[in-house]
Amino acid sequence: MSALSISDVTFSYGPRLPDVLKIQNLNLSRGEKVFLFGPSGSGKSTLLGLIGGLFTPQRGRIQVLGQDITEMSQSQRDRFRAREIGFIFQVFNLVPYLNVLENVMLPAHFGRPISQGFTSAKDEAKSLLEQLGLGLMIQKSVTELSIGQQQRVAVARALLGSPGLIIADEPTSALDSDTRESFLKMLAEQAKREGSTVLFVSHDRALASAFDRDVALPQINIVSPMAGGDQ
Amino acid sequence: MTGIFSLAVKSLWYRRVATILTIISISLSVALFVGVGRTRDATRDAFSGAISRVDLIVGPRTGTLSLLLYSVFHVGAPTHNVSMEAVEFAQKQPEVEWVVPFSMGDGFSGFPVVGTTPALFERYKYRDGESVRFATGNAFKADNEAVIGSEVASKLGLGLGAKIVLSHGHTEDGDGFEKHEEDPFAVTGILAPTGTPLDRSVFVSLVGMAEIHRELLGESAAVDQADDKDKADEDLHDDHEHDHDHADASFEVADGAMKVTAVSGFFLGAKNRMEALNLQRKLNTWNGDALLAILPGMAMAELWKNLSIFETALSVVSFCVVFSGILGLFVSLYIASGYRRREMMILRAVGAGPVTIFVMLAGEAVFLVLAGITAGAGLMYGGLAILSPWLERKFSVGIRMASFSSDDLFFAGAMLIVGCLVGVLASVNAYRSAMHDGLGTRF
Repeated sequence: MSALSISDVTFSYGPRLPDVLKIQNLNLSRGEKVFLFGPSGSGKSTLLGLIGGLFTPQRGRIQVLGQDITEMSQSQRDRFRAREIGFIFQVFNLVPYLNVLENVMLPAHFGRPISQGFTSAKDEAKSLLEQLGLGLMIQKSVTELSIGQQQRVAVARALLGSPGLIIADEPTSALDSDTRESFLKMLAEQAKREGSTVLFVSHDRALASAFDRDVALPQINIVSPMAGGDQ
Repeated sequence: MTGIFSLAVKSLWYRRVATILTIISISLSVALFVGVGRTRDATRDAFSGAISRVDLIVGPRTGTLSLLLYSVFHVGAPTHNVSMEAVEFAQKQPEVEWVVPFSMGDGFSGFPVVGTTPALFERYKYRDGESVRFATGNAFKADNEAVIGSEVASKLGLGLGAKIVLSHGHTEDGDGFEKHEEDPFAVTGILAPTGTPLDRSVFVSLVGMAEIHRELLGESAAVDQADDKDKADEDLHDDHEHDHDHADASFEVADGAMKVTAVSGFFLGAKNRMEALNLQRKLNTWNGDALLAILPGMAMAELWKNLSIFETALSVVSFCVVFSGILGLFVSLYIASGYRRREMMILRAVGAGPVTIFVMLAGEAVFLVLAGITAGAGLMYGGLAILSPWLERKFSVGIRMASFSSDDLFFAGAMLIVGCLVGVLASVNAYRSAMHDGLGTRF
C-alpha cells in the first residue's frame, strides 16, 4: 500500500481562476523518504494543502495511506489530517502561548492517537522531547528557544502518535548549515523509528542527497506557474 | 471541545494586555451608557418629582410655564397677585379639600423666600407622594419665625434659632438689595433633603412676608398701593424704585394689625382627583380675578418637553460612547486577526477544522463582549452603591438602584447582539484568511 498516491489532479482556487496545479501522477511508498524540489511559484503550498485535505481538487484522486481523501467530507478530512499527518513548517511552527510540552501535545486535542507503549499523550510527548535532546526544556516558553530548538520541537509534534505521513515544508531553511545537517539526520532517524513516510519539500536541491528519492514539482505540475505567486 | 476551550483561554491570556484593554473599553462604554441613562432618569425623576399630590396650581393669569416655574421651582416671580377673595372662593368649593396659598418674590442670600401657611409642609408632597419631613425643629408658628430648606441650612451653616434677615426683592446672587436689618426671623425648623426646590427655599408665614414689605414701603405707601391695585401694572413700569419684578401690594394695615389681601397663588387639593378638571374650569372662568389654574402633571410634562434638547444631548452622548466601545472591539479583533494568522494555520495543520477555528474566534469575541458588559454593569452598580448615599446627601439626587431597569436589559441585549455581530464579522475576516492561507508559509 502506498503512503501517498495522486492521480490526474487538477486544482484552481475558484471557478473562474486559472488552474494552478495539474499533476498526473505522484506516488510515495510506505516508509519512503522523498525529497520534493519545489521552488517558489511551483504550486508547492497548493500541493501541500491538497494532501493535507485543506482544499479539494476539482478533478482527480488523492489517496493518503490507502484512503481516498477526495471522497471525504471536510470534517472527515480534518480528523484524518489530525490522526495521520504530521506537519513541520519553515519557521514559527509553534503556538506562542503554549509551552514546549503543550505544543508537542497539541495534535492530541484534535484526535491524534497515542503510540503504543504510552499511557498518555503527555508521556509520549515527554519521551519524544527527551530523544530530541529537549528533555530539560519541556516547561519552557517556546519564545525562549533558539530557531534550531524550535524546529526540533516541531519535529516532536509531527512525530507524536507515529502518524503515517510527515510533511516537512522547508524546515531547514532558517537553520545554519551545521544545525541543518543534524536536523536532517535526526528527522530521518526518528521517522524510521516511527515507521513514518516523509515528504520533504525544499527549494534547496543540495539537500536531496539525504533522501531515498527526489521529485521535481515543476516537472510533475504541468500547469505553467503564475508569475510571481506561490499558488 | 475542552481542549479548544483551554486553548482559547490561553490564547486570550497570552494577549492579556489587549484582552483586558478591550474588556475595559467595552465596560467603560457600558458603564457610561448606563450611568448617563441613570443620570437622565434621576434628573427627570427629580424634576417631575418636584411636586406631587397637588391637583391644581392657581395663580394670576400668566403663562402656564411661568406659573409652574415660580410656584414649584421658585424661578422668577409673579407680576400680578391673586386676591384673598380668590383663595376663599376656591376654599369654598365643595370639591376642594385643601388650599395652601403662597407668596413669592423675596430672597435671602440668593435663596428664594416663600410666604405660606404651615399647612404647606403637610400638603406639599414630592416624588410619589413623599411627605416633607423636618430634619429638626418644626413649622413656623409666629410671624417672625422661618423654616429653611436643607441646602439653605448647609450652605449658610444655619441651625435652629439662627436669626436671619430677609430682604425684599429676590436676586440670584447674594442678598437682596434692600436688606432690612431690624427685622430678623428666627429659624424654627430645617427640612430634610427632598431633592426638590424646597431644599433651596426659606419659608415664612404670609404675614411675615408682608412685614418685610411693610418695613420697606412704609405703611401709607402700602395702603395706597393696596387701594390702587388696578394700577399695579403701571406701577411696575413707573416706579423705578422697584426695579425687581415684584407684584403689586399684597397687604393692608388695619388698626395696627397686618392683613394679607393678596398672594402670588395657591396650591389646591381636590377631595377627588377626578374633580381637578372641573375645578380647573371653574377657577379659570371665575368672574373675580383673572385666574389661571394648571394641572401640575401636564404642565410639568410640557416643561420637560421644552427641555428635551437636554435629554437628546445625553442620548447622543450615550450612543457615541457605545459606538466607540463597539468600534474598539472591532479594531482589537481586526488587528488580532492579522497576527493570529500563523496561530490559526498551526491549529489547522494539527487537525482543527473550519468550525473549530470559527468557534474559537467568534467565541472569543462573544466572551469579550460578555465580560465587558458584565464588568461595565458591575462597575456602574458598584459605583452607584458606593456613591448614591453620598449623591443623595450632597445633591439630593436620588439615583435609584432598582436592580436592572428594562432599558438596561434591553441595552445589554442590544450591545451583546451588536458586539457579537461585530466580533463575528471580524472573526470572519480572520477565518477567511486562515482558510485561504491553507498551509502556506507566506508572511
